[in-house]
Amino acid sequence: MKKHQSLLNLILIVLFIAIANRSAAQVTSGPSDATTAPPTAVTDVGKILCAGQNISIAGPQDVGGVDFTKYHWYKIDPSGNKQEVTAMTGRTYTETTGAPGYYNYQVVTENSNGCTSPISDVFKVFVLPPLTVAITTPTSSMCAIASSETLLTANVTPSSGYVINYQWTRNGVVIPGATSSTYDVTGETSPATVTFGVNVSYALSPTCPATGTKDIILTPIPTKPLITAN
Amino acid sequence: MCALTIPKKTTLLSCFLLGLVCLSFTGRLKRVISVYTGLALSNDTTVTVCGSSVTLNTVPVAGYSNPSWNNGSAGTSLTVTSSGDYWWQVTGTNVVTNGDFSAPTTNATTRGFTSAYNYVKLTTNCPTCCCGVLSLEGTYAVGTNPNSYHTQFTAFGDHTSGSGNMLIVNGAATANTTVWTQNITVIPNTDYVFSAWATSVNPASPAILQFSINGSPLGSTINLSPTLADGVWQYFTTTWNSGSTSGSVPIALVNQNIASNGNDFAVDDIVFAPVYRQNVHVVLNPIPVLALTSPHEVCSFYDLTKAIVGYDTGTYNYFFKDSNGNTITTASAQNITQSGTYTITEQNKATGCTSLPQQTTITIDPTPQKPGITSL
Repeated sequence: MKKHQSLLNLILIVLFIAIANRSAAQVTSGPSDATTAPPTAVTDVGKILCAGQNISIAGPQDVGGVDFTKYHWYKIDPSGNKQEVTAMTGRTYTETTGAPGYYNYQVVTENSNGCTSPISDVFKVFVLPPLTVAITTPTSSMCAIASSETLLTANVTPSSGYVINYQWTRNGVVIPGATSSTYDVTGETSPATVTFGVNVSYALSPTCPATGTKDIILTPIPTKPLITAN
Repeated sequence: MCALTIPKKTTLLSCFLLGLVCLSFTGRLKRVISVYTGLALSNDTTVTVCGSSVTLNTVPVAGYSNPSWNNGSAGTSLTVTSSGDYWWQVTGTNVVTNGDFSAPTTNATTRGFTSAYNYVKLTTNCPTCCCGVLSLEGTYAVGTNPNSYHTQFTAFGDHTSGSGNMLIVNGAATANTTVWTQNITVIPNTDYVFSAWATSVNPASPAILQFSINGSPLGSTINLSPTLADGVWQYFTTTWNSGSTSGSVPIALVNQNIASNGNDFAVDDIVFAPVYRQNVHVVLNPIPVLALTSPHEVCSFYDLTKAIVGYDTGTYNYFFKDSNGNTITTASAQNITQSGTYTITEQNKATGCTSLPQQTTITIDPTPQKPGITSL
């Protein structure tokens, strides 16, 4: 009987903790808003980060240049409600990012009298999705002759929604003016294997680039034949 | 009707002559005293006071003296502690001859009055009297001690001095018997007061007396108290306006009690005199009691109305002052941004009565400005 009573108490405690945790504010670890279109300009948000970068934002100091007693950080959840993430003594708040999207924050400062400031405006951090690029071409081999050509195409992921900057290279050397998503290989007359590459980056942030390469084999053409008579 | 606005003051010894009434206040005078001017008995004054008491004072009226009040007290002032109707009066010369029964009792002429009762004195021979010369109903005497005239009458002194004469009566068993009457001379269109002091001399069946003038009853009957002890003098008074009557008219005290057992009483200090009476209607309004919570230490600003216990704008007006004594609006009071001691009073909208000022201390702590967020 006593054993059953202890088991019942344990069940009740577990239930209580579960209910308490459920009733507490749930703070999302992902973006506040993953559906709205990306910003069109850098100035549309407070900060743009590459995928995998940590968020690191700070509240102000008092007029004497000293940290306030406490900083109450709030994060907007996907439903648009602000949830207090933490009440901390330091003024810097960091968070590991997850999925791309907007991460929206507000802060309230509290001084030594316990007086709190008005809540700040929303500070938006936009986290970009991972950027990758692959080069495709109809053929990886072409004749080493000026008239031969093939078209290289840079296929970027994400494939839409973002403005991408391109820069083509030939054997690691920037090809001047080659800044579109395709590059027409032509004029190659020397037999060799040439590595063509493309460096891509978001127009919103040049700090998270991606690179793709493609080797093109330039086959020597037969020499001009001579006809002989027996 | 005229109205006078009186400034408020905590202790106002304000004696103001409005032709009719002079008042001093232990409370705080509210706002308006309405005075009905005139010289008839219908003079009415309304005194509205904030507080629990007010002292009413008479004012001199030429040719009149002996101020008295509705409760029988004499003097120029009366402190009242409840709302209600009061009056004071001053009387002219008493036209009653020997109203205090101090004159020699030799005969009806020297006594100054006549009666339907039989006069007796201590030396009267009364073989049928069981207990003194006033043993028989329908008899009266003028003396200093009722008990000297009837062994069952209580011993006590007269009303005038305690040692003078009074009229001592063994009531008759016949209604409307005149106990005391006298012809007096009146002038037309004059207010008169007819008053007397009376008491039972035996507790059984207290007498029922009535004033009369010119043969007509005047005022309500005078019912001697069945509970007051013998010798406790009771004051009875009524007023009369002579109208067109002039010259000599009889005034009388008539006994309406026909009980043979008891119905014994004494009368003294009969007055019939021109009178000036002032009716005073007193309204005592309570002073609001304002309670505040204090102190308060808050961030940014404070709503001073939150410090008021039972804040009720439907009933009260509120007045606010800052630490420098400057009046501030209610809107400002609800957004106090400066630390300091603030003073609040409340005024009852219906009565105009204002509470004592109360103070509360507010400490406003600075609040951080709206922060901005920067990215590191």
